[in-house]
Amino acid sequence: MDLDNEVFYWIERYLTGDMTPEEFSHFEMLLSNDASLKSKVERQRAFTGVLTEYGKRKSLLATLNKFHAELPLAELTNQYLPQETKFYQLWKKHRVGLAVAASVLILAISGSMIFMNLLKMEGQSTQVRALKRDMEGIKNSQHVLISKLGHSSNTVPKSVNFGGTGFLIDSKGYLVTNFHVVDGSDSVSVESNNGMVYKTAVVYKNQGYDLAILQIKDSTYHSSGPLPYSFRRVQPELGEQVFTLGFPRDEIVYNEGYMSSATGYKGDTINYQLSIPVNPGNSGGPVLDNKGDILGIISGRQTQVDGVAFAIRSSYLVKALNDPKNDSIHHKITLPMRVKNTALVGIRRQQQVKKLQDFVFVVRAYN
Amino acid sequence: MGNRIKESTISDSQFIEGIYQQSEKVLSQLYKLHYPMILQFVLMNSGSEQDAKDVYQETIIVLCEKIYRGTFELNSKLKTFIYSVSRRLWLKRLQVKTRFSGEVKDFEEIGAHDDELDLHHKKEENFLAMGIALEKLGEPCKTLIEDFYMHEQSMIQITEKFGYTNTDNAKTQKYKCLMRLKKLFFAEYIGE
Repeated sequence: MDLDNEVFYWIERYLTGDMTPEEFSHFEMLLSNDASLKSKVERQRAFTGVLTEYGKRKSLLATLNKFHAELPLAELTNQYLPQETKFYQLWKKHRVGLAVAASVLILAISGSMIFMNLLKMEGQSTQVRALKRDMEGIKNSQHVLISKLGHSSNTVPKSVNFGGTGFLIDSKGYLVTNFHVVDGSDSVSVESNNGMVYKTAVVYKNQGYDLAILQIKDSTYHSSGPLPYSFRRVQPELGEQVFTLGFPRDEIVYNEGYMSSATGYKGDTINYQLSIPVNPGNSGGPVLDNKGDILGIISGRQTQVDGVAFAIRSSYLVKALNDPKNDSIHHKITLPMRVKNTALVGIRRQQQVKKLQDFVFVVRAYN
Repeated sequence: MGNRIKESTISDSQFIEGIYQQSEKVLSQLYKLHYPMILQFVLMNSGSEQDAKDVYQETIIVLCEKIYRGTFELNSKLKTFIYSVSRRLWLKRLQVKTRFSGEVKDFEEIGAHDDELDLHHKKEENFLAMGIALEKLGEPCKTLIEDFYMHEQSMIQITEKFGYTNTDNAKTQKYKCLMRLKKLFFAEYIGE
């Protein structure tokens, strides 16, 4: 053991009282004479003192912790936590979760609101779309045309609201079209395929069947001749080929398809469902079979679904004509029913169309 | 404002006497008696349960050590002393946390304060440094030192425990460990 070590142990024994009385008094005498030794003793006393007190502190703290664990901590906290703090602590604990939940909720609600709105919009525009053509765009060009011609007409050109198709149901100038094409209009005119325009009167309207009958009231009209087609009595079969002529544009358009269903939208028995491309303006056009029989009148198409169109059964045209309320028609129109051979039987489609063209008209409804 | 704490059947002077005699039972009763008051105070003043525990334990330690040193004088109620010390300790901590707005919600009397807390804080610094130095000391020194200076084991016991050949060797080892500890301890202070 070196000197420092020895001194250390002397001091330690002195500090802990581990000395004999002789040793003790001897050491004290040394201390009174040796200042450096004295300070060394003091420093050692201080340091080991901290050490021992540190130990005591540790054990006291351990004891206090033991007491603390015996307290009814949850009860106390509940009792003494001020109400606002309770809420605040709860808030602090859960605010992240609450924020996430709130955002998700807002997203979900706005998402479903948008979705519902979309659905509503779809619903409002109806699943079935009537095919009258909106003529607003045509209006302006008409004005331009008239001013170029220098017409100082007394009659102000009326604005065309809607356009559709109509076809002759007899040789005297009666046409059938859809109710929805002429609804709300006070004058309707028709235009033949060769560009002749005639004024008409709406002589019959049936909203339920979506049919309207027009009569050409124009002295310039000459009969087109006997109808090349007849009206089908027998129910068409599924898959049966059909075609239509109409005016989704200002020129006649041919479209073909087939019978899809004996009922219309959602089981509607007034219409057939066809698979045929039709567009606004086709409303009121004839639907014919291969033999040239008219089995229906185009009334609309299903939105969101490709190629689904609806046509009013020709039997309803018959019903409409036999309607006792139909007293504005001067004489009863007898629709030609299926005869053995009409003018359209047995000839190619192109020929059939050529013959039919003169009997299908543009219908323009004015306001 | 606050709830009235139920007065215990032990008088303040009896408490002090019991603590001086190192009676764990008496200390336990005192501890549990006054904790709710400090819990309420700390919670009311932006603190948590952990804060309340820390502050309260520090307060009780201050009280105990004053009693052990024999320097404790009871001028008012023990409850008031505890409240006032806890209050000061908590506000000091709040200042450190910089959440202190200046407003303190009191519901008890605050007694006159003396300087015992200054001494206490100095000691706390020492203990903190010592704790760190001991950790840095590592084994076997740490256990050796603790056994001798804190657990009051004799050199003979330590010689046996650590497997030294004789007590002289153990003493040499202890000396070396202590010197190392001293160095580490003062290094903490310089570092501060």
